[in-house]
Amino acid sequence: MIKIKNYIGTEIDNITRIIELGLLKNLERSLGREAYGQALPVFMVGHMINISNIYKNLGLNINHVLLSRESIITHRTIKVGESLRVRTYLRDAYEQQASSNPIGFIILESVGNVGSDIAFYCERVLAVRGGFSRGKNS
Amino acid sequence: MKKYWDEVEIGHALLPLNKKPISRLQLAQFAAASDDFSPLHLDDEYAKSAGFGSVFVPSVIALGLAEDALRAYAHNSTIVSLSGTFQRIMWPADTLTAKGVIVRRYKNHAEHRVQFSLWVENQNKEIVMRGQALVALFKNIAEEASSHEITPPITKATHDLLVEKCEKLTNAGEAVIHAQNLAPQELA
Repeated sequence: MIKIKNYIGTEIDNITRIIELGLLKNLERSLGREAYGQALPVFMVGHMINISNIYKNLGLNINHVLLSRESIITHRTIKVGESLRVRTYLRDAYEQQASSNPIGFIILESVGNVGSDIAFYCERVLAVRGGFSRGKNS
Repeated sequence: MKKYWDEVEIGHALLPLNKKPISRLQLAQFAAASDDFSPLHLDDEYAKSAGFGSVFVPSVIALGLAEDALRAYAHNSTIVSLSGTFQRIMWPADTLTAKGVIVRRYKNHAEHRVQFSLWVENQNKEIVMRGQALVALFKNIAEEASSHEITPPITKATHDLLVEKCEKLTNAGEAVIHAQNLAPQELA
């Protein structure tokens, strides 16, 4: 069994992606938007991670995980054709008792680089229904 | 539409941005764009078996609508930060509206900034997301005309703070990983 708290402070995902025009086209369609042009929208930068790999690494069952909060700081536009490297770290993991069942909270921090430039920082809070013992992957 | 810091005031509102009802096709397109093919957003039977009534909409789409509303308000702006707390599940066929208002206007490191309070409502006027955005604007038309950029640049002082924050994180993370990779005798 994976103990999520053992991973606090460690890098849990590291992925490099080329930003493709097709990705932006799918985003435009999914939001019913006219055009993003050649730049990745801010709200999307935190989703350039490999979330299924993170769930796997932390032993989480996808059925129990909901995105609770997302916060992005960005200082650089990420354009089509650029190579984006995103490193994700587990900052904290804890449980709180809700009315009847516990809820687990997982705080992830991601740093995105284009070459040596830091392009963004993203913090995500995931809520795990039923807490870590119920939310773990079987 | 263009906006300048000299023109805006606390209390100015974004134009509400309405969208058509969210379709299941849009959910598939978002999955392709995010490379996140969670069956909770794509497979009704799977979502029901996981305790949901049907597939549901990825929360971050609400944040995307809020960003669209910001860009519609001032397309000559730079979004410095954007955040959202997701308060209610969104379902296919929901009709979302993004709204926002300026709550702060200030200068920082020679940047002319405004802070927005943002929220997204569904068709029942229930708030599905609350958030905030920090946006840099050109001070006025003259500053925009003299700039080489189409949106206000981030100052080095501001960027250095972000670099420091990120380097602390990446350096600490690497140190822990390296420690874990060492054999027990190397740690002794």
